[in-house]
Amino acid sequence: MSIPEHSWYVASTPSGLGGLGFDDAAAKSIPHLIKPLANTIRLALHGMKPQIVASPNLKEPPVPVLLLPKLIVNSYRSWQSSNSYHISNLS
Amino acid sequence: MSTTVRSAYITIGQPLGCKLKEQKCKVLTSTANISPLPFLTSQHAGSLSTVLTTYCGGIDKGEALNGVRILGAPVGNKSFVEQYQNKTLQKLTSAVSTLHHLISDPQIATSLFKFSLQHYTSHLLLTDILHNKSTTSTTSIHNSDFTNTINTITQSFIS
Repeated sequence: MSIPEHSWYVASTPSGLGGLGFDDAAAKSIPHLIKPLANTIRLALHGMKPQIVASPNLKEPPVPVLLLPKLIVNSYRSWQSSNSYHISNLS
Repeated sequence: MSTTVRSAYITIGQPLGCKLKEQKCKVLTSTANISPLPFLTSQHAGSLSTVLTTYCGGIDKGEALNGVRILGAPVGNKSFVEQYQNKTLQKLTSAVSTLHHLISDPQIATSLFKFSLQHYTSHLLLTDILHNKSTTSTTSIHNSDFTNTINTITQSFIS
């Protein structure tokens, strides 16, 4: 059972923009692929920064960056683009 | 080698809550529904058999020949992925139908659908892109049988 095109447009528009906030699977698929892929590329190339919760009375300790072995990093190097770092940081 | 890994898993992992469940362990040896075991050298075949017997509850149970699921996402050949997608869609349809029958308040039903059932298939969208070509030329939208069915289920819920 399908609803009129304009109704689906309203239903699938995010609630913050005045719609009903239902997910449109066709529109959400591409971000579902790109976001984790860009995130993986960023983590592989720039390393992982673990979150360390410091006591409020103490100075924040320097957070070490965990780098992956070169063998893994190299396999992702050719996937890097000028904006892959920024895409993976999008919320 | 496998004995060392197993003992390390037990000594390091178990105190931290990591337990190996044999029935959940699979080794994906092929995606063509043919076991490569007979074609391997005796040394490699022996190692693989040992791993399957030790970690996966036996060669028959532990060897996956079409695909496996990793964190819920199917990884394998096209028919394996499609089979899993169809199974998930059937579960979603059944859950939506149950929601209709059990909850008369439309606001509660909508909230449950939006915040719970709608995310039932979201982890499968990535797999769908990798396995099925979009039927539209627009690069921002991925139209496939899977996404169309999900949208149809959502639309039938709304109407």
